[in-house]
Amino acid sequence: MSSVLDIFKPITKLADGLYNIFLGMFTVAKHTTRDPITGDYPNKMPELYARSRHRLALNVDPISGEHLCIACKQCERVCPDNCISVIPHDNVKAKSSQFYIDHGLCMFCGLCTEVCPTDCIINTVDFEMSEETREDLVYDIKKLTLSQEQSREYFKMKGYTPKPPKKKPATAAK
Amino acid sequence: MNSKAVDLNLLSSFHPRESFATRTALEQGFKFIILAVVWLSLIFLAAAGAGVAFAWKAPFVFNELLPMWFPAVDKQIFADLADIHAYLAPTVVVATIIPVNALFMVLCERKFLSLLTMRIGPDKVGPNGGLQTLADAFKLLFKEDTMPKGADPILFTLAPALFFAPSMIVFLPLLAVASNRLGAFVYTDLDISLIFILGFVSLGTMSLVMAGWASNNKYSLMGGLRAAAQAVSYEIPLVLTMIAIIMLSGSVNLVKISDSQAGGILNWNLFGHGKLPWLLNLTASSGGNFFEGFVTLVFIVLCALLFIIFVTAATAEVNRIPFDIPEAESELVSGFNTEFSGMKFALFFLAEYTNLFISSGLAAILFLGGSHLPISAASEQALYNLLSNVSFELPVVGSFYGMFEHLNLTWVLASITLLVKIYIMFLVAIWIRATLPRLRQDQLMEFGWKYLIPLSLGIIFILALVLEYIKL
Repeated sequence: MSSVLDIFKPITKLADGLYNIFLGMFTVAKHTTRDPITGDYPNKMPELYARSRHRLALNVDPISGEHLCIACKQCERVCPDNCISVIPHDNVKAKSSQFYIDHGLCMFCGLCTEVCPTDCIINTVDFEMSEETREDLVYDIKKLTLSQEQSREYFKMKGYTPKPPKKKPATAAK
Repeated sequence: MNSKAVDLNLLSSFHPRESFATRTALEQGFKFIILAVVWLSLIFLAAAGAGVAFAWKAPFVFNELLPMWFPAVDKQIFADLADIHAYLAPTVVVATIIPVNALFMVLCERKFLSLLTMRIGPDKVGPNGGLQTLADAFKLLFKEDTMPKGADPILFTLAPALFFAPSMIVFLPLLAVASNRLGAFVYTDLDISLIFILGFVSLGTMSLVMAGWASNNKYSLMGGLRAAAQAVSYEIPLVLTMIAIIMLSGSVNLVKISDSQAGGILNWNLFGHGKLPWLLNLTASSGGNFFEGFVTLVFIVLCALLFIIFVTAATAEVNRIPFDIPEAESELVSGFNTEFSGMKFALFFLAEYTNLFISSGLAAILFLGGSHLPISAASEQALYNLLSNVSFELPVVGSFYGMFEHLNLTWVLASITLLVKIYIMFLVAIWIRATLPRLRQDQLMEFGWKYLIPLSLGIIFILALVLEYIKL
């Protein structure tokens, strides 16, 4: 169905296009009055949420300062990437002698923190973990364990204190 | 124990660093204006310095000073030297302006684009990122010069130079407008400036095809072919709008076109070449001829449309977003300059921005009154009278054979005005870039051939009728 008015169609289309372009340009011009939304990362750290999942760490008891890990190996079992390996203490029960986490494999799913019965293993909000070699990304127990003050701050932030692991008198096996 | 684990502050999220105040839009805009003022003065100083040193007093030096110092030498030799110098001097000035100017244009584009898109932009090198492009230029100088396997070595090397050369030549006629025909710049005042510019601008496209073909890369070749197709389609509306301007001004000489718009903002071609007051005829109370008012209204709408078509076609001509399909990053890797590195790439970059500068300059001269201030002719003449006869003495050399007496400094006003106008047009180009997405190849062709060319042809036809009635 063509009418005589169709010869004006290109003109109306052109006028419509021009109008929309000027509308868009006006919107963009308004953006100059808005503050920058991008951060200044290396100089200024972004404000991350307290529960964002980044580098893994091990808590100590904020009161006594003892390591909270009881070497139950729940985290090792649940880890989808098999990046955790817990080595129990030879002589002392419910104590790990060594704790390895390969952050190169870890995908920060947070499953290990959920299964941990003593709230020992946690996700911190530190995400700057670049290292020179891949081997450096395997953190041992020294690198993973937090100080007493940091653990206290963590539990203060969470709003509760951990159940202290049931202490059984350490017996020298063998 | 690892220091990182010790320093980790879990509660306040992070250990404090060098704290930056939160940036506001006002602060960013203010910083950008300071940056622009500093860099524009730098560009002006470089250009003016080169112009003064090489071109200004050249006739005086060759005709009076040198014969006086060396009376034994035949005067004809100095006359010949003056001839050679007169042709070389503007080129030397252009060669000084282009790199300095391109340095700031790239920086200005990045900073202004960041303002429009709510980002911060480069701010690490120099104060507020002011030396970023200088660092980039040095980096490009030291890059390895690579050539792909199977490339044509001669054409591959020639293409960037051939792309850069026309932009340098096309720059020359702008100098005549910017310098008020000062000293040796008289030679850049061509009577066919517009035709000269159009002729040389087309040469650039040839080198894009050359670059695409010589790279031995199918994406580069496609980029080159697209550049050719685009140039063929969009040069026509560009020329047609220029024809309309020639009809308005009655000249192809840029200086005359610029002078025809002297005497205030209403005399600019963009606002109807001084015919805006005729619109009063439309109102019944003025008692004017209503038909006359209607014709004026048509005329003024046509002038605004001409400007829009010119900006569109010029944007396409210099391959800028939204018409940058020759180097569309999402389809072709980087188009015709994919395989180029180091200085060859830098030459492409330099020439692209110089072309953009020239397009902005043409828009400023053809539509925005060229080198004339947006004030009335009488006040502008008063300013010119103030500047046209300046004498001063330098502390060491005094007046130096009368070299610094009765100086005509009107070129300072003219060149600053033109520079500012060109940069305003450049900011508009960035604004367009920040707004519009890239067109598809078929959309580009359809828009060019089905809309722009018929529209500009129709405008010329109606403009001819209107001008017959209005009689400028």
